[in-house]
Amino acid sequence: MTRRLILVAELVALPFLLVTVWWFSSAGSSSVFFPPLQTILAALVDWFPEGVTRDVVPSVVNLLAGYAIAVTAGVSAGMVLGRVRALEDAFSPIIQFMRSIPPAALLPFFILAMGPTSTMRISVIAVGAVWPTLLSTIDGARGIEPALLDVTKIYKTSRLRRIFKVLLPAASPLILAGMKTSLAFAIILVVVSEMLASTAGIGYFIISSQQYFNLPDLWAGTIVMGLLGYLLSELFFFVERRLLAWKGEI
Amino acid sequence: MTRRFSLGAVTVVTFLGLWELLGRTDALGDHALPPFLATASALGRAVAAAEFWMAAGHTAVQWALGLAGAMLVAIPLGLFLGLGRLRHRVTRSTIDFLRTIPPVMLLPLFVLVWGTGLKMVVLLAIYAAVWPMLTQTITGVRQIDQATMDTAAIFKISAWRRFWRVLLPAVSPFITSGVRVSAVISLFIAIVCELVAGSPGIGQLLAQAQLGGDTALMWGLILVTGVLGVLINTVFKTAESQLLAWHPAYAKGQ
Repeated sequence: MTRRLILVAELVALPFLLVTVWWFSSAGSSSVFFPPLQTILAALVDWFPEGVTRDVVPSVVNLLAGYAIAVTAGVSAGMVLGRVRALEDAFSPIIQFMRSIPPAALLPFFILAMGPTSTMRISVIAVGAVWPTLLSTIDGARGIEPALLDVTKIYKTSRLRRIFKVLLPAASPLILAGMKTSLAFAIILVVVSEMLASTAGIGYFIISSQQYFNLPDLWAGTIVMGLLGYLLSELFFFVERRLLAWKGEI
Repeated sequence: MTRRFSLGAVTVVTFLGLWELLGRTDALGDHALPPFLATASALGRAVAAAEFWMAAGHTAVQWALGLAGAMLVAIPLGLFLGLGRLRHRVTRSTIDFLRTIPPVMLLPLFVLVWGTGLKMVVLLAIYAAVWPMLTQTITGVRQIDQATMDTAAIFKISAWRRFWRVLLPAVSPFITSGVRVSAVISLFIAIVCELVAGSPGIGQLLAQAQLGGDTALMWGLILVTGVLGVLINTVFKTAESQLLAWHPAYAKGQ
């Protein structure tokens, strides 16, 4: 019990201290750029709850749709490329180049081709966030132990079972590591796309607060975006632990 | 090796041919995807002008300062936090929170406070690039076998030598892999700032090309950002294997 208490104290002590320092040091602030934390929280309360449906939901829906496409494409292509040497050799130069393009650099093209639409956001995420998943799935698929495959051959395991019960689980730690980076890319892309061309979403809320010089709203939006990013990565961490629990390593 | 090379070359040529074809037929409409040859010649014209090299210089400086600044913060701080059990445990939750929040969300705030110039880009790049190196350095210090440090202490190796000859070599593979990730992040952030806030650089030219409807130039500049990314990746990978040639994990590959 006391051990638990100490652990919790260790986790919350510093964040609590930082927020307290912020609260008191900004309390009487007359600076335009650094409004009192109290004012920011008041703006946050005003924004809630309509803000969630207006700004957060569209962002998250586009984010998840694009991310789902990127992950599905990355994992399926990565499994094939990782298992077929000739294909990997053939596509490797193009993949290496494409993954080196900063994802946001693709935005001007997608905005021009599709306009400020949800399709544009989903497409740019699908294309921009696929590379980390693809590359680590290739690594994961290539690194599968040959003995494991020999066993499936001896047992005459069907192709479908071999893919879903043997190959994918064996490559899963690397696949999930790639998916984590892809998620970070997807979040950046959805926010930047909303800042550049949008009339909705959390990125739009932040950039329009900036343009109207509404600092409390800008701070509130920035905090919401930060919490959203944190929640998504915690959610990912939770799922990852569940999925890899059978390995007994994490 | 040669088979690998020729297979790759064939795909690249096929890919460019396909691009040319899609461009000529204007498959995506609105000339959003111009033919490859038009893109190449637009890029050729851009490269001949001083404006391009000024922009490339801005991007390079912002990238380099962002990475260097982040290294100066992250590596000493990581060593410091990793060396103390309590320090590490008390700061862990805060670091985990800060590193998962997307750095681009801070851009509008940074622009209001510091403007759209070099300073703002570098500060945001530092903020974004600190986390991979910081967490990697902390992990690196934490994984050092206590026996190694104890042995060094028993042999009365001075703290100075212990730091340079035992601690730093043991952590270095972790630091270099963190630096590699941070180098890429610093470039990402520089491009985003230039694109969104109009800070000087390749990203700004890219945004201008988009607004002006000059799609050939736009695609040429997208290719340039890719080349920058490839350069950074290659340079840091090579430097890493050179620096760590003595390390068992790297020596094996040679």
